[in-house]
Amino acid sequence: MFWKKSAYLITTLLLVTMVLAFVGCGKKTDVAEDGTYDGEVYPENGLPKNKKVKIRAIYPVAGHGKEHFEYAVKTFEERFPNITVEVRYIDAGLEAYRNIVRSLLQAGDENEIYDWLYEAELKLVMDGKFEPQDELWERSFFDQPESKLKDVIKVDEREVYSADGRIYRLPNSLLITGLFYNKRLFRDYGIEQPKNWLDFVKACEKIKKQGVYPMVMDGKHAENYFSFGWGTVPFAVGGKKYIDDVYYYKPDLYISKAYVTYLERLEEFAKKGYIHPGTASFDHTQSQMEFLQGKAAMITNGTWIANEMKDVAPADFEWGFMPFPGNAPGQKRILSAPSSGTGYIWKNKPTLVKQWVKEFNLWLLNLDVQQIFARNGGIPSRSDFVEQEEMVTSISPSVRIALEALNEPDVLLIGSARSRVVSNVEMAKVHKKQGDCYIALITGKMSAKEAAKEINDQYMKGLALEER
Amino acid sequence: MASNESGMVRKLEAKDVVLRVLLGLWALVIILPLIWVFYTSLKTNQEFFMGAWQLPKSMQWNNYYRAWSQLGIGQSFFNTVILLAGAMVLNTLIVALGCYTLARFDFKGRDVIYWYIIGSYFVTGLNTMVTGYILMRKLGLLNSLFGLIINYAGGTIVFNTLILTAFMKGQPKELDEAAYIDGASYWQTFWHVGLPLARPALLTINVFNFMGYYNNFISPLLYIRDPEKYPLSVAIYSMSQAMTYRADWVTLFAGFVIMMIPTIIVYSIFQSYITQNLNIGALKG
Amino acid sequence: MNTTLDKKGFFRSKTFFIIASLTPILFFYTLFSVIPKITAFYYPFTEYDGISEPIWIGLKNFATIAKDADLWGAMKNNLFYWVIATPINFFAALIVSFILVKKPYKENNFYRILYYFPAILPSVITALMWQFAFHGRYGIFNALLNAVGVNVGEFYWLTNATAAKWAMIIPMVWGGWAGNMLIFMGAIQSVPESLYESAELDGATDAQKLFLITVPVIWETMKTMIFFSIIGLFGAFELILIMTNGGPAGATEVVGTYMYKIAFGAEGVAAFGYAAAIGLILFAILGCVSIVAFRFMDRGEAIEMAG
Repeated sequence: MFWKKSAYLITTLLLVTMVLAFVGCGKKTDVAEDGTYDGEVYPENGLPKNKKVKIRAIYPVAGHGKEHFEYAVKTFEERFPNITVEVRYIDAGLEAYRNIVRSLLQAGDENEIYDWLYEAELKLVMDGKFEPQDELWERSFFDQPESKLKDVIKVDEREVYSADGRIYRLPNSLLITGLFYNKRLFRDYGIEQPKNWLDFVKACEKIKKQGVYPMVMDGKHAENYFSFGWGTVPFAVGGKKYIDDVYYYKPDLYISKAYVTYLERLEEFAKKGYIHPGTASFDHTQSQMEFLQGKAAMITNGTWIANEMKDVAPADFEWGFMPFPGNAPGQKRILSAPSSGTGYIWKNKPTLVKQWVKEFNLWLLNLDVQQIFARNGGIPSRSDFVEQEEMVTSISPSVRIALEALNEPDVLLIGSARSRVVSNVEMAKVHKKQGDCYIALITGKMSAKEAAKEINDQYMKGLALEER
Repeated sequence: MASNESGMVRKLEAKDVVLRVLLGLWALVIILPLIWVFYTSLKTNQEFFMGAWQLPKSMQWNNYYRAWSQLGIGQSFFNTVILLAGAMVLNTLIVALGCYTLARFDFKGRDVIYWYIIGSYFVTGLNTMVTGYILMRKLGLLNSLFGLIINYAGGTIVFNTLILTAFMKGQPKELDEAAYIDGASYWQTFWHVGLPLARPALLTINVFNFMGYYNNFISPLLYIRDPEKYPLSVAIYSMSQAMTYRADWVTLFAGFVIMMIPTIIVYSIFQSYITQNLNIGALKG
Repeated sequence: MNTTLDKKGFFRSKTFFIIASLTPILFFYTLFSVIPKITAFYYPFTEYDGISEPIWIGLKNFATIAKDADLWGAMKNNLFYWVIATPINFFAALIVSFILVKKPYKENNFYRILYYFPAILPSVITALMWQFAFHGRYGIFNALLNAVGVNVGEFYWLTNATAAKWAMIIPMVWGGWAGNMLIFMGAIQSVPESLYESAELDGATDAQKLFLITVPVIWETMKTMIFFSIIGLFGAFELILIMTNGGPAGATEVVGTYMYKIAFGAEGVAAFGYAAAIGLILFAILGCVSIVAFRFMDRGEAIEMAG
């Protein structure tokens, strides 16, 4: 009796195991050892034509809208009919996107997590949650088979490779920030676009004498908006060494000569009355209002925000853009142009899905997609984009003037990459400290040296906490 | 008597004039901003950026048309109606029943239960976005308006309990006792005496319910995946976020004006019922 | 008799009614209010950047809180706004509600609806409006001051630390008592007319009617409103965040804005665990203050009853 019962049991177990093994093995027989597929494949990438794959993406609709993305999805599905790209568009913007993704990740449901993510925190990347996409860098474009990505996308190496030497997303656009100026005012006052710090100060003096404030900024979020222009000054003063110091989180970064010089110049500006007195209370809309009403001649901004201003400016307003001239005469001008990448691939997904997501990421770089992107205020990272005359004429004016600055010979681009993530409560407070100190500085409540020390002390606390 | 009366009348008039003037001033302090909001919604963006207080040169009614189409009112309006009606009814039933017992009956453990509920009103600082999502997922209430109704109804219990219990405690108990003497069960007393007496408070908590549910955009964003199921609040939030990139302030103002209309209507209706005189005499008879 | 009717009797009994009426509210409450909060009790003891796994660090966050001068400075601002704005919002609501409900002015019906509007206006619009009002060049306040002869020139209220701090009280009061008013109006409405009639014959003034008749009758509601006022100690947040973002240089920073910056401020560098720990401290503070306040009120009641 006993043997009979256990015989049934053992037989059942064996059958179940065989079925499972068969099912499991079944999936694997699709891909041979060298990663090639049997059956009909597409010539561009060797992936099978007959296997239906669904890609799930989540995309926050922010500054550049979703038109280019919808177009990319449509054309991608036309080219590869066995692929469906299901996109969840978050019209509510970036913050909502982050809240949603955060909840998803914490709930831990791997099935719910999307295959394609718009952005990801560096910490998560370092934790190995995402699929490396190194091989894409060696690929050529879908629409330009003679050009390879690595030859055409000209960005700093640190913008492409993460600290571990792998590529986790393609740098497909640039975020250019700098100084927008009122071209007509400049012309009326006989001022040439200054190309170095000394000329810049002279220009500001001229503007001030005319009864106009040289500069206005968003002071409520000073830690962001001041860095859009002024933030390049320490790089201009400190050069390559400063760039490395920032990248490696060097101790005492904020009492270095480069950074203190930046604060001193800011202090000097405020003392001379070159900064609009309302700056500390303005958000970016109110600062723009002052600029558009002609009460201030210049405003620090990012091109993606300037895109919005062009729609509300008076019809006869003339736009100018320049990299913030923090450099000494003869030195290169620094243009802050970190690359923005998108298309992170969640690692814990089936192989075929991940391969197709990589194809999609490559597809996003097509020139026609990038053109729609540029029309909506984005700046493509493909250098062959500017070379095409028809492409350039259709894009938004703020993008055009930024692209012109990009390609000027005496301009040096800097990015925003860091070697690692330092995320603790003390480091989280550095941002706020900077904002508060900048405002205290321009309202005369603090000296440059005091401000530098306070920011630096907070920064060092953050570094100290990292040593746990 | 006559001189007393006329003396009182004269005193009333002087005091009344002062009060009415003060009330009128405050009304002005509210009306002027409302007028500003309205005429700003009829400007062009250029006009808005050139002068915050300027009157529009011509009325841009197409701002309202644009806002309407951007907000996608239609399906989301329908969703909102279902969501709000369902949540308000459910919440009212739950809270009215519970507070009636807490306010009118004396039993062991009553205070413990009351403070158990009230206690979480202190715990305001904890971020329950993620834990709330995990709970909804475990309950299988994600991605459905039904789940959202349940979530909303449960979410405003504490505040409403505070108000309703306090209100019900102040109500006279004679009517309840009269009903018992007449042979009514506890349930009948609750339904025919307790609820009607509490009408002002029930309407009051539902004004707050309405405001809270109507403007809540975080919960639908987190718990609902399909855009067709979104209520209006998500559309208005998306629009205000898009402002940081498009600076289309005048359309945003128009959108806000549109959004405020249901609240104004609901509030006005509820308000008229709240301040209607309760016919306590009739109930007694 | 009793035994045969027992089954039906139980369903009609007081005990059953109490249990049945409390079950729904306790069930829903526990599920949707308690559980999310209890499971969130974990975060204050972690270091959590909002994306990767929270790391348990025990009481370290609280040690940091003790040394956090910015946090205590923010709390002082909370106290400042609370002490000034709360009594105004409370008494303004009470007195105005009384007038709107009891006085026979014709325009009261209109005011009852109009006065609630500040609560209906979205905070984005209110914030923008007040920012324009405080503007240096075209702001209303400067215009008013200039009109009465106080020459302020181009003074930007929200750029000056002291001015900004005091100026923020105005929007808070403007929009702050509409909600209170709604609750008071409902409560005052239910006070029986008969009580006033007898007082009228004795020649009572309006103030006497309000404080000697209305207040005692709606005393339970008053206690609840006082409770709300206490909880409102750390409530000032949204308007400040949009209008000044805690500026200039932290002059109007309150705990709410501070927590927001720590949790959501910079990209990739967030301290959710720390913000949650602050939340726990707030809970402890509010709890203590409430207990003291309620002891005080109960003693006050007892004294009144005895005297």
